Amino acid sequence: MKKTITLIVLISFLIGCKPDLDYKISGYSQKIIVEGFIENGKFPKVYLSLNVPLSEKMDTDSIQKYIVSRAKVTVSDNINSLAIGAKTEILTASWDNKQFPPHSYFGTEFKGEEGETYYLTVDYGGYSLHAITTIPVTTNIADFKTTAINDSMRVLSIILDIDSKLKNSYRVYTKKQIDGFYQQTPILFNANLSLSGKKEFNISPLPNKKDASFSEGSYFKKGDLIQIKLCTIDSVSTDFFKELTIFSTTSGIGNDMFIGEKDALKSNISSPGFGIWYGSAITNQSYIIP
Amino acid sequence: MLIVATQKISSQEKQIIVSDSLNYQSITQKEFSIQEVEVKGKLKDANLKSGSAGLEIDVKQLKLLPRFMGENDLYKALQYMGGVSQAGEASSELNVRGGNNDQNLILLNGALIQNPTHVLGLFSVFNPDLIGQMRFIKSGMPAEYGGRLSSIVDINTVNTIPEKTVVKGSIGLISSRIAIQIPISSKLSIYSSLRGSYISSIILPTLTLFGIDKKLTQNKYEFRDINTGFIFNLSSRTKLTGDFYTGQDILRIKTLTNSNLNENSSSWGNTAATLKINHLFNDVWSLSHQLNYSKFKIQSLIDWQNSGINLQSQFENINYKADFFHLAENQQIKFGAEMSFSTAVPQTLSGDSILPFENKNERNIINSAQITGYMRDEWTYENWLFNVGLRANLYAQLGPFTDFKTEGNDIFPAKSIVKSFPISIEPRLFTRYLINSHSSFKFAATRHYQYQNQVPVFSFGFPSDLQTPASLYVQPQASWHFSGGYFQNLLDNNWEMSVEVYYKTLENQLEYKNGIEATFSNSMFEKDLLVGKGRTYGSEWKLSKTTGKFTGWITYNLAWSYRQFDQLNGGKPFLARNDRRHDISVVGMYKLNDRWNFSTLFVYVTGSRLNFPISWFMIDNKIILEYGKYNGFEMPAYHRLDISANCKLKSWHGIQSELNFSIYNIYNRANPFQVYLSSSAFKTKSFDFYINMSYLLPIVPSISWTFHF
Repeated sequence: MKKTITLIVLISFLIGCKPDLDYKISGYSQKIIVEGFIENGKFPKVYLSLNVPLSEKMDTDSIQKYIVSRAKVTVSDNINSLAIGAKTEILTASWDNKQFPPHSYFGTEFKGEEGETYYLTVDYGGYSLHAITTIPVTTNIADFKTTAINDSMRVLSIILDIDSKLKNSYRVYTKKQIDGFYQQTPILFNANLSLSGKKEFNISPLPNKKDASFSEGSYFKKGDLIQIKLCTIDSVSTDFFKELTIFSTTSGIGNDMFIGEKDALKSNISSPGFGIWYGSAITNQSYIIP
Repeated sequence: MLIVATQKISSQEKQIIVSDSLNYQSITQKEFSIQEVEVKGKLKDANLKSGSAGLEIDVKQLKLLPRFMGENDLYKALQYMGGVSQAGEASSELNVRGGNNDQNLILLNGALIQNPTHVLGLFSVFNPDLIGQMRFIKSGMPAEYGGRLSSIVDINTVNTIPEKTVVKGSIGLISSRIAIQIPISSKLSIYSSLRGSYISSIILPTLTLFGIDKKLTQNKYEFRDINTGFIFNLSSRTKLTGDFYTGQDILRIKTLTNSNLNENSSSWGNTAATLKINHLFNDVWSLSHQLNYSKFKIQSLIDWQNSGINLQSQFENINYKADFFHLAENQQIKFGAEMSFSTAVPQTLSGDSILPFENKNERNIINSAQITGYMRDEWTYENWLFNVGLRANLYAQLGPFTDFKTEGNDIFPAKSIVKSFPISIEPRLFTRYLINSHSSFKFAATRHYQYQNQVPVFSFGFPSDLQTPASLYVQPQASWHFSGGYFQNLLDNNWEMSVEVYYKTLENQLEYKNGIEATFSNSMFEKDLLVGKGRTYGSEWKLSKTTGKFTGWITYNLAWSYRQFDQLNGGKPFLARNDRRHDISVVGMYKLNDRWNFSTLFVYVTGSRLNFPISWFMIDNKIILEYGKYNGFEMPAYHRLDISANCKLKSWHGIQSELNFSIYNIYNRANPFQVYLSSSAFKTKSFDFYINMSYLLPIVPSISWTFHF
């Protein structure tokens, strides 16, 4: 018996407690991640980064090598950017700490126009990436509707008159008086491009428990002035943002207890790039909650 | 397998051979027809001679295995029997020969148990004091069983009338149980049992006295179950039995260190009821009617993206079957029919405020009906035994049902047929050849169809699989299973050795690609299911010592389990989540004397596989994860060693009792319960993603006192 106990104790020490997590998954290949947009009446803006392998420990310093700050980014309204009459601009690079990646490329020479097509070229590391997008025709908010939750709180909806032939979808941002910035309504409206005619959409933003205005939840306060930004995007951009809206991880924690391969985002950037170059038709409206 | 029955006539004992096959029905009938017959054990060479009816689990032997928190768990013990892999830490799920957990048919007195787990899989729902017989079939399934692709676990509670009132029970660290059997007369007896836990009411508050974080007491976990029933001998040839089971688990996670499950709660439970009448026409013919009801319901509150989401899922089944049985000297014929109606509610949903998606309150209930007929014949010819059978199923989805479409819904009214499937035919063949008195060879080829499916959406043992019966957009699963084995007994049948190989095809396998969050905004998630195929193959080795003071066994499985879906992994085959390449179980039991016996259990299983991201990037201020090769991540191997000692105490006022001392996971292996991607990106702005593992069960010593009188 003594021998058995000795053996067991020995095995206990030999095997130890916690296993090492050997995280080696083959298949990582570096991609140039592109997030670029051009809106009607505004200059184009492009963010570039590299995808970060998960096996690598990251900190504020090491993340720098995944930010692409020395690329040549060209936007043109002609497939041949050097053609006579083409509006072409090499974007200016600048640090931008408001979001990640904290470095952007922006235009200063020409602004986006409704119905126009724009070409993006990114030259970096010996690669040349290409993408194309169109700014759709602007959609206006046809009407507003509020539903009372109690004496002071309202659910706000917008009514859009949808022309199904245009195959557009809609992203909505709202800014309450209390907010310092626009909050995205985390739904892509008409994501299946199947709706037609006048449709009502609830635009209450996602309640954020960390937000000072959380007590209002996803509702709007009676008498509050709400700024509403409506972005109309075309069907190619819709395909991308549809998946992004559903499956992105906004908090970084939580969703990965779920299994299953998430749908790959439908990038419109040529390889080895990945991401989206999209045109967006913007309308801004204000509304006082009745 | 040969069964020996002992007929007690006065003071004499006479041994007769009741059956050449382990057919539960035949045993029941024979037991019933001959008064005071008890199944005493199996013949020494049963390993060589057994027919297609699978493995008769030695309930008494398994009760000697090391316990967890004082609880015997005979169902979980199947994980150590060879050919079966456990799904993971603290899981009662069975992956039989590379199959999925929903491919096991689990019956309690003939009624379906949809989810046999308590405490997230730490215990099964079966009260060990009441289990009379337990059968496990993983290959060569005879035609009377069907409806699942991989295995049958057929558990029956005690079905004989005791001579006097019997009380059994156990007092353990986190739960206790008591069971009572009362003979009302020589023809009628009733039984009842209760089992319940006191984890959050007693254990956690007590542990705070020893310094555990008081916050943990805000968590709640309890389970309870009740079994009750009766046995009524209407005449010397007719017997009526009724059994009822209901159980409930309640889990509320308020705060848990290193967990992403905070603010989640769930409750779930099974109910099963059976009414059965057996009639013996004469010595060779018998008939059994059985009416079964079963229900499983789960209700969860999930904290998802700052919104509270109520999810409910339910499965209900009512089933009638009639079995005719003919038992002659060298031949058994069995035929019968079965009719069942099922109602599945894959998920119903409601949210606490505005949900971050377009919530469609359009949900379907899937009603279905199935009629099955079967016939099988088992006979022996010289050294051969054959079991040939055929099973045929007719299945249809019934209305009411709405096929939600963007361009106008298709509405099917009540009592209409939404979709009928062609008759499925399941041929079954099993054969055994006795090479000599020490060795035999067995071969089986069987076809299976499965209409009731469950699709897992969590990567760990949370019982929230989506109920997905065959319906308008879901085809039934099917498989071919080929199996062969060589069996050898050594040293006067004191040692048994076997090697089995198998090959299994899997058709219409279902995979839900998007995780549970996508079901929130989807009226008909079944339209998004991916359909693929699979194949599994492997070998199973077993060496056991069956007699003497020291008994036990060693099993080793070498197995491969592949799936192939056109939409996944570029259409190339990939290793299934339950691909466990190496699986070793070592069980030893030592009877020192009449008072003391000891047991030990060691298991080693290759880690299961997960689908994991390989890189991340950000677009639109959102973190996007890029996934790598499908199921490309292998979790760390699972292994642990348990030991146990049983001490029989002196009888006190007629109460027989014993103390059990068990140590679970003696070398404190941190087996991963869940592996997930974690990040402090939004807390510290460091963009530090890392892979996190949560562990559940460290070394757990326990003591329990069991008694009977």
